[in-house]
Amino acid sequence: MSNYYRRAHASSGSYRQPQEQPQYSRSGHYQYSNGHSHQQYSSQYNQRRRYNHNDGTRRRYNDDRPHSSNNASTRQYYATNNSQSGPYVNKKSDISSRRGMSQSRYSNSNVHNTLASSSGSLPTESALLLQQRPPSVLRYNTDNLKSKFHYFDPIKGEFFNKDKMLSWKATDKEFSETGYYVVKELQDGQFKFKIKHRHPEIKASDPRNENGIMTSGKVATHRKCRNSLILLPRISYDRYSLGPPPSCEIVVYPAQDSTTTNIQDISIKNYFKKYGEISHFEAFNDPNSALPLHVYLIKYASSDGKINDAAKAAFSAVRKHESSGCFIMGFKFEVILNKHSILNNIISKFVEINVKKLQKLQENLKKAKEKEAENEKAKELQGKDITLPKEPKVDTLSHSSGSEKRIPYDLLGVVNNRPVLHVSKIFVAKHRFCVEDFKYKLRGYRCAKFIDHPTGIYIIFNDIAHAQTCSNAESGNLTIMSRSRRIPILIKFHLILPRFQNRTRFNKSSSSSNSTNVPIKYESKEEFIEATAKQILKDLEKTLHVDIKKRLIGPTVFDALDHANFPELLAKRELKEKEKRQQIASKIAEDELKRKEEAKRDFDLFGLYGGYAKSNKRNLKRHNSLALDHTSLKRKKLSNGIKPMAHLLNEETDSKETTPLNDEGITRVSKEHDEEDENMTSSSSEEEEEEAPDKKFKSESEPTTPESDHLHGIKPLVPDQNGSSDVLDASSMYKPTATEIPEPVYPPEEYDLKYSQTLSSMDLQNAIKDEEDMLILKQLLSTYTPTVTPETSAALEYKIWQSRRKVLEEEKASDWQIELNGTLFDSELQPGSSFKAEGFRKIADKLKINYLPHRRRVHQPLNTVNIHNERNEYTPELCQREESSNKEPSDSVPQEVSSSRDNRASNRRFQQDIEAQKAAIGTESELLSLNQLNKRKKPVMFARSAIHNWGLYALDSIAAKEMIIEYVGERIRQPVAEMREKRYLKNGIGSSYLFRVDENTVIDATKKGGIARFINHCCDPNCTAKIIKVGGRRRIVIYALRDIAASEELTYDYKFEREKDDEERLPCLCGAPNCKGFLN
Amino acid sequence: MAYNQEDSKRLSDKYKKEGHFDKLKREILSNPWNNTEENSESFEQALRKRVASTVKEMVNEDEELIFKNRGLTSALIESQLVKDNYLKLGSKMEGDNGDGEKKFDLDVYVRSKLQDPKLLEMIKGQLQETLNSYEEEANGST
Repeated sequence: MSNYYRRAHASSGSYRQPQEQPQYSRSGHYQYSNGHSHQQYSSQYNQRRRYNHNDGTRRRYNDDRPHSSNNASTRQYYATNNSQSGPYVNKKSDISSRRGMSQSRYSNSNVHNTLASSSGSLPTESALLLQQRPPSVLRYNTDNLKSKFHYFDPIKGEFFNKDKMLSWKATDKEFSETGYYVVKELQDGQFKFKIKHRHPEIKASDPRNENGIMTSGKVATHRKCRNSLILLPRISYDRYSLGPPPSCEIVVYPAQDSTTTNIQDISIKNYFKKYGEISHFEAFNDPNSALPLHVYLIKYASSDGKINDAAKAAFSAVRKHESSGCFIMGFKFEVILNKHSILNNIISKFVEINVKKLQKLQENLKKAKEKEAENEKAKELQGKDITLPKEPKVDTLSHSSGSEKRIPYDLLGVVNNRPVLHVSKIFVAKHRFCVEDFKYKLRGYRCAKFIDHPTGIYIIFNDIAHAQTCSNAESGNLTIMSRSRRIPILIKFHLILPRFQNRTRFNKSSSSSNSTNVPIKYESKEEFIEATAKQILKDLEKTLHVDIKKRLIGPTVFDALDHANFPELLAKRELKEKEKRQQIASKIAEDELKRKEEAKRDFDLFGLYGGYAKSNKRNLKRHNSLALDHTSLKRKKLSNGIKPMAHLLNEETDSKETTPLNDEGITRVSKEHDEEDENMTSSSSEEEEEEAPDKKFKSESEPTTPESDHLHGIKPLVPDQNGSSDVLDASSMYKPTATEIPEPVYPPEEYDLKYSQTLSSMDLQNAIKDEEDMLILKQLLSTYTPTVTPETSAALEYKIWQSRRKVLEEEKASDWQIELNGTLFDSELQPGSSFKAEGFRKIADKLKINYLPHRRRVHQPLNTVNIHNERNEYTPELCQREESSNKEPSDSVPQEVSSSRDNRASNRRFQQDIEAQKAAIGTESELLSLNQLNKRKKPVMFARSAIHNWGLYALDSIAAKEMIIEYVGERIRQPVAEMREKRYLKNGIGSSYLFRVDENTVIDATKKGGIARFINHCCDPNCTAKIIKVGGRRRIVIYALRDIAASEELTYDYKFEREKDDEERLPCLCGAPNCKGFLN
Repeated sequence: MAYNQEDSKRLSDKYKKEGHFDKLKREILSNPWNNTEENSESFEQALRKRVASTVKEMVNEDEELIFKNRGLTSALIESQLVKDNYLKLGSKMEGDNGDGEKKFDLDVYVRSKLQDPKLLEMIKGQLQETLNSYEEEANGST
């Protein structure tokens, strides 16, 4: 309760005073009326009512509070007081009558008075209470203030000087009673305010009526009539905007349901790209058929920071096409903003349309098929023949429609008497249809081919039934969007049916399939089985014949052709061959006799003494150039027409072939002579003359087949035993020689020198050189009786031939190897098994010489440089040059230097000229600034190097101290270089092309640079790098250290800093005699 | 129940798969080729013999044949033999052994074998069996 009071006090504080006067305060008034009623009927009311009444009284006490000076203390007081006063008041109301109460209704002061007056009769508590409360006093009740006109007496509740106050109406007659109003009126071209009398008795009228604007209750206005709400101006969306972001997506969909559009998505996208950056583009397909619906969702993106861009783009795109739609490639599209579920609605709408279309189409097809089925049934009823029903129909149709339409002659082959649907060219051209339209539209039918012909479009079918179905269902039904008029056009097909029943052979397969396609039906089981059995019999016949051919005749013929089946023929043939061989042998013998006679005639005594020196020399030479000689020797022997027996056996030749071979052999010998002469550059002409007969004699002996293996070292014994028996009889070869040590007649063969090597059958054959050898061999082998069976003999021949071939091939390979690389192929490189099985292994650099041409002859310049205008062989020229440069260095060098000096001088003059011109022009031109160093550059070329990967080679000889080339590259700072080096290593660029100029500058030729970067390091270099200043910039220039021959590789010392870490050290591959082994 | 062509194809496939077809083929090839003689050899043997003798004859005419590429030659000879309904095999060679009356008419033999009404009946019977079993199977499965 106390709470309530306190609150009442706080809230109603400002109304305290007016509340004293019931006529001003509503609450007071209320209290008054309430109190009044109570006053009248209080006796009848129950106790509770009295409480209520007392509440009201107490409230009034409350209201007096402001009269106390100390608010806070008063409150305190009231709080305590109230707790006690409740019971007290109750008692009091019981005791004291309504008099005091009623008085209190009328005025505060009265209450106070009564209370004060009745204090004696009241209990002591109440007296105490009243004493504590100070009487209310008008504080500002001074004369001075009272004299103020508007002084208000709060106790009385009226103006103090009320009686002195007068109404202005009564006192002042000069003003109108009704009052005035101010009007703005136009006077003398100016607006002025005017005061006018008010006339409340005159009714106000609508000024619009007076001017006649308003007629018959409606406002006639010039403003446009609005039939819709006006859109508010678009408020741009920014980061301060509240609410959801504006839509930045637009939906593009076809205006009509024109599904024929073959517009590509990309063209739509491109079209809408012009409004803003597209962040998302989606084309929707029909979920049923997966065909495009041509409904697109385009979402625009906004560039960073400008979040309004996307919405703006979308808005402008929609705005642009709002009224007139948008035409893309001739098709009309609608564009709207994607809000809520617009997109889904559109898609579902189109899908529904498609579904309906499909249903319609299917119905049509069904109808057409039913119709056909009915027709067929009718035909079947007419005629029993199974194959017949089709034909009459075909005929009637071909007469009706196909009679005026003919397939053009050039298409006859393609059409091949198949049914064709035709659309005329005029029609097609008018609407600009293309074959693809038809292909797409008729994709549901089994069309074989679409042909675009000058006379129209032809659609070929393999089957008449298909063609007819298609024609029935689609002709007059099918619509294709016309490209010229943009409306769907009905299309009529003309069915052209085949004229002839037989097709040409082009289409045999399809015609047969056509015939089988006519469904044959078997009425009964017997008929069915009968037909099947016939089919099986047919198959059986086919397979039987195939079997007879492939399985019986074929193998039998093959077997029958076996040699073993014709022994007599074989025997005959062998005889023939024997004869042939005898012929050859006799011929050879004849030749031999002739030669011997000639030799006898040539014999001279003086040859005896010359032989010693000669043969010695020859041997020496043989030792030296063994590689060259032994091959040529062998070739000679082979080509002399005397072939080993083994070879003759293998050869199935007749006598015709042998003679030309002999001739050829002779010419070849002479050729070889020439070759040999070339090879032996050091030998004198004298020797050659002597050697010629020697060679001839060598071939005199008759070749024989070796029968066994162990013939070794016999030959050297031979000549001395037999040599001097008959001087005149013996050929020059066997003549005695005046030497200290007996000498073999034949020069030592290769196998004589290499005792460790196993003898091949070829070597053995070659070892037997004359009859004498043969005799010895026979003697040796007389004890050995060979157990030769026919099988082994055949195998032996083959083995001999095989080993012989192998040896020959190996020789050939090694010849090539020597010719190519200058060394023999190292055995270490030859694979034991397959290369794959061996896996990876490191091949020593020494061995690489065997197969890498640029590795060989490490320290000689090599001809990897290919200069196209230099036709001559490189090596001899180089040798000459080297010789000349070695012989007369004093001659050539000064000459070169002087010339280069002249050159430089003229260059300088040229430079000065240009400088002068530059000054004349006055401007710094890039064109004229030239690289002075480039002028002095020497002709160089890069090619594979023996040192490392690539190298730089001099194209021309270069004199010492001449500038060769500038090391060109990107000029970078040290930290950049470090970074790049790491990056290159990371990227796997192993070779370093960084060249330090000074502490701060590095030239990097890795990515951009001149060919100077290819110059390799060498511990014995022929060049050096110097840093020179040109035009204030430090540049790297390579100078020749010594005279350099043409095609010599250019090298300089890299001068890398010494690396302490052994793993970091780079091995040097320069191969110079004083090589340090490492680059750093 | 009506049958169409597809059924017939299916049935013949079934028939072949059961091995009857191969059996028939083998039978025809191994039948005695000349019914008139008692101990006559089978058709296959007779054919092989015939072919071998023909080839021999050809080799005798041109002996180079056996010294040439065997595969190629045999293919060429084979095509000659097969040409024109085995005309070369059918033509007799009196020069060899004089029994010219024993005409080797391969084509006629095969045809006669195939046109044998007994054979047709046998096939029909087998087909009937196959069909029945097939239909039973189909009924069982449905």
